[in-house]
Amino acid sequence: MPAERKLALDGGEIALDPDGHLVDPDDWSEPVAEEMARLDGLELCDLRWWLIRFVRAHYGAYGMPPLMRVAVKAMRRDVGPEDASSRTLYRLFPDGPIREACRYGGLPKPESCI
Amino acid sequence: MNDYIALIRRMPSPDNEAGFAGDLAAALQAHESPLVFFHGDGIDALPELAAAGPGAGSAVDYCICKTSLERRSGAGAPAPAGRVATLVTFYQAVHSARRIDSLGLGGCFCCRPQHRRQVEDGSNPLLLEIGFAPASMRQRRETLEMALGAAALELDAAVLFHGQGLAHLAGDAARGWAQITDFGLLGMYAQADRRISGSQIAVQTVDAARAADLRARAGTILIL
Repeated sequence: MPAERKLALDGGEIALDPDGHLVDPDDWSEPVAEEMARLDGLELCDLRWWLIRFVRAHYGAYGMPPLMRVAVKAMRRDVGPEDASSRTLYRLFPDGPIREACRYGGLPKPESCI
Repeated sequence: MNDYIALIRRMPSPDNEAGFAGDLAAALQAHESPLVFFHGDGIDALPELAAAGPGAGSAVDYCICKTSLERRSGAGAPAPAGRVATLVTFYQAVHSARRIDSLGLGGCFCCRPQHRRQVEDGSNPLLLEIGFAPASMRQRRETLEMALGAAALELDAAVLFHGQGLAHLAGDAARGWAQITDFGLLGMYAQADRRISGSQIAVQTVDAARAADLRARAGTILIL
């Protein structure tokens, strides 16, 4: 079985599962997200942060992350219609926008039937 | 393309077990390219049905939902029979199938020997009927996932809760359904005499006549 990983931050260690998600969601904070992204060579720009916060809010309200079409619709509403598309979301997180927003957002790996 | 689909979401109830295997076998033999899709607790029925079905060389495509399998057997688990697939496979097949039968939470195989109604304009409105209460959080979640799958693919679909199925809308555990109405993903209806107490979900309450109209307008009905 793949081993658990550790994220070192501010003198402490945060446990990550083999997929890189926080073992304990209560360990999450925005500095944790920033550090996870830094280790991945990624900068969390405003738009990436918008998606992470939207996914976290959706998870809090409905107990699961949003569908891609919901995220696109919300982006159109919150950010503007010009670039709101699944293509833009994939540019933000090429490995899967919703899945990566969950990971950086301290949420479990999404279970997807699609 | 599959001309027939059987959606299996649980083992048949004891009352229906005797007729189920015969009905399914007859349906599989009557079609050229049948698909049997196992979802949720229906996975428990896969080994038995695959063993009892038409023999090797038959055209039956046994598919098992990837997420349902991983929930029960862990990530990357192989299918006990058939192949692993997702709801994309299922809903793509729904679009082309001439007949769709389902074994839902009620444990009864809803078998429709007549071809599905052809809607005049060539569309295929889908109605997901939910008439039985979930016996577990997992059943609750997996029923919701059937609806979210249709929503993710932007299908022309609606959900109709009735009878014991109204239990899906009760309590805090029902909040997952709220995203469907909050974001306008699918039509969502509850056949009830009055507004459902204890539910914060903006589902449209309909009477029996309106529910019958929803059923009549559907090109395909899935009994979940």
